[in-house]
Amino acid sequence: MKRYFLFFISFILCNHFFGQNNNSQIYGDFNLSLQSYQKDDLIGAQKAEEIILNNAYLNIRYSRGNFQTGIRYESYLNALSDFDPEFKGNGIPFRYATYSIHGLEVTAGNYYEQIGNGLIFRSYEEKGLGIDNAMDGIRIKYNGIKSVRIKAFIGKSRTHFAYAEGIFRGIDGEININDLLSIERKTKFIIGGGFVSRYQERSNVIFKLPQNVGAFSGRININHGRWQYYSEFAYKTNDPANVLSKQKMNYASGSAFISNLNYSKRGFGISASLHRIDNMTLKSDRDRDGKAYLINYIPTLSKPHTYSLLALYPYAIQLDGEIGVQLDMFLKLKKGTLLGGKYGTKIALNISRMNGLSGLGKSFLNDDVNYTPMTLCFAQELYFQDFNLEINKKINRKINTTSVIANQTYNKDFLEGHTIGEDGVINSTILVGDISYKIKKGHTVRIEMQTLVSQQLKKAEKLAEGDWSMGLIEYTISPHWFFSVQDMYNWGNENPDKQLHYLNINFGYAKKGNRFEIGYGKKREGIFCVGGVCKLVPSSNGISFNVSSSF
Amino acid sequence: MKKYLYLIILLFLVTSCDVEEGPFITDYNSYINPDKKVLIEDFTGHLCPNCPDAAREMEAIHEIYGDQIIGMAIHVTKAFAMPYPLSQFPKFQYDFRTQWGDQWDNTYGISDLGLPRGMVNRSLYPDAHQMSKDEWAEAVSLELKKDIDFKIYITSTENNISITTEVINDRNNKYNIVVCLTESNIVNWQKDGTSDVSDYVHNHVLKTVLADELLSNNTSLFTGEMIVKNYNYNIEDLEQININYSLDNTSELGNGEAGNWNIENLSVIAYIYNNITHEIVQVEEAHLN
Repeated sequence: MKRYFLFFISFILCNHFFGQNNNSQIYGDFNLSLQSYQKDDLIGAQKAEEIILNNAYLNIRYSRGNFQTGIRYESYLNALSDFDPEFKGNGIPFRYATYSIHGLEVTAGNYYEQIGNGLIFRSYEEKGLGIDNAMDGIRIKYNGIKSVRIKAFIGKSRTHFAYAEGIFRGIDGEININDLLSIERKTKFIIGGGFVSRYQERSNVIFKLPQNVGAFSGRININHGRWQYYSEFAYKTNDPANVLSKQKMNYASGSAFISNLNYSKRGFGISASLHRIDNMTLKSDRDRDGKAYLINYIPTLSKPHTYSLLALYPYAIQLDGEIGVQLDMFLKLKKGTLLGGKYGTKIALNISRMNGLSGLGKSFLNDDVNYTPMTLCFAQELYFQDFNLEINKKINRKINTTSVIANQTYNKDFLEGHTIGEDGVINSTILVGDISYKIKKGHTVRIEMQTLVSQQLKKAEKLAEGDWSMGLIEYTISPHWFFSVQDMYNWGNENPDKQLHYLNINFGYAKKGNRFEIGYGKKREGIFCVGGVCKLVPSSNGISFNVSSSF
Repeated sequence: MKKYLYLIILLFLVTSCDVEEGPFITDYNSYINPDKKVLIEDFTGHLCPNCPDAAREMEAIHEIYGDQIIGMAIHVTKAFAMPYPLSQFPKFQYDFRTQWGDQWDNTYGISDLGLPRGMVNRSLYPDAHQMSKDEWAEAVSLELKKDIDFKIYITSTENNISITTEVINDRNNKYNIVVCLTESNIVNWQKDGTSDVSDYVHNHVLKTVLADELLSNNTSLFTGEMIVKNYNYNIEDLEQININYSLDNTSELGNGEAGNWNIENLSVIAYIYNNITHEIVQVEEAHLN
């Protein structure tokens, strides 16, 4: 690792000081997160042996003309408790060089890439989730043919500080039909398709195992004025796990279909989506489990909530099998109308519902069983349902309000992988009120009040968490200072000993490219998701310190 | 021309994956299901001269498959398992028989065909379940290929045994669960061929049955369901049951010498059987405590 680093630094310095051309640039960003962990038996928080845990990274990029190179140094000494413990130590897991010439772009080293929406392949980084399945290999992109873009890559996917066994080969192309045929029409078509194949050596003496697993996808994007339609279909060839039990070997192929219709005009938008996923988990190593080994991604159809009680029970996408629908609507009532008031009113309505597939919940094929679930069926077990309405209204120049009412159903047993009947199915109704008040220029105070009332739709053995309330006061002196106090109170917990307060205090300062934040608080054990990919966050109690900076 | 080139490349890529077709199993003979466990019920007696050969056969099978094989030695009949009269002291004074062993022997008609003889997961009932020791190995290899519908987990404390059954596949409930205690490392007399061995080591000898009841009160069992059952026990009380059974068993020459269990050497065996076909579909063993 050190070799790479020294080579990189000397390379940049040579170029920077002795280069003739002055259009070169160095830029990057830095982030440091420190957190202390104290024992707190009430919330079940564990003490860290190290007292303080640390995650940090520094990105440095250098570009000059059509050449670019970069590295990322990462440090986990040791990783924060909500990260995989395999992130351990220091290193330079990300380094690359790329140049482009006459429509051809060549990248060697690490890169992120995806095909279409990621149904068959997505290599990406999501720091909040501790996901970084960056590729290491070669990628080329070519756009030298009119209206056609092609990219191809080969590489291995990162897992923590190592690379997974599978070797990926992929190709993706996209054609803008209207451009290609020089058609001047209101309706525009873009079609695309991709293919990816994973090679992993066979090692099972009892069962057949495909060494090369392939997946392809095709997509179409149609634009017609205010209408837009996007659809993608993906197919994966048989990809059984490498186990020794006959009844766990699944040779069925996988498929996924996503479809989305949008209409939007000024002040109004509506979007309807449907997707069906069947046996579509694709991993970078067939022998390993865990989110670090996932190599594809299917966007969830549930709304990503930011208010904490709305996100208390978030939905995790089920790549093994689910069918989901979503309707999302946005409306802005005009200024000066009865409901619009002086400044206009924004209304957003979102409804989503996710079910399991029929029967076994996914396609299954082995020597004894050959099962394919029904194509469209919403009668199966409900995984998640969300109905929410958000109204945003500016009262006057100083006061801005947001209110949300939501009803969510969360199949806790299934989604958190517990045994049936352990936690049951939770239905919760949530109310959120958010008011921000501008005291004077640069000074804003914001108050959030949230309440969640829940009931068990299915009996649970464990005592339910029940009802919650949450309050937050945030004071901002822009552009430099902010201060916030937040308390989440689990007043309705069926276990009276767990009717606890989770208090968090945060204080931050930002100036130019630097931002410092210090906080103290207790976190509840829970699930944290970004785009339907989730991680379990253990409960914690401690002080956190965060620095982020860019140059 | 370029277009064709791309098409060829794409075709090449698409065909470069291995789509497997059934049968997916390449070596059925070597296949064993790692989650399947097999119970060998060895009907035996300390006066049975050929029975140690069966015990050795069971050990040999255990050597091959490890913990997937669970053994149980069941001493039955007056002819092979009665204790000698006191006049013969110290030879063959212990009464290894139990009410449950005798009952199973009756139900399954084992000793009628002569000992040693046993059942492998009670498979092939009612026609060919009474197997001689030489038939065990083949029956075991067939049983080990079968799929499982249940997994069993055993935990115990000094007065409680907890059995958790995980349902692997949806099933109609036609299953019973049986919980037994066996004792190993009992050094006592045994006829072995023509000799009377005084320090023979008796392993996994059936001592008691704590339960034989429906697996669940529900008519259907669902994948992922966990069925938890708890049984309280007291070793002295359990010993007393065997002592009383032996004392009452005068026609079969019982002598009441059925106590003195060594708690260090006791194991719990829990198994689930289909109450229509009698087949044992899953079994588990764990040390007591």
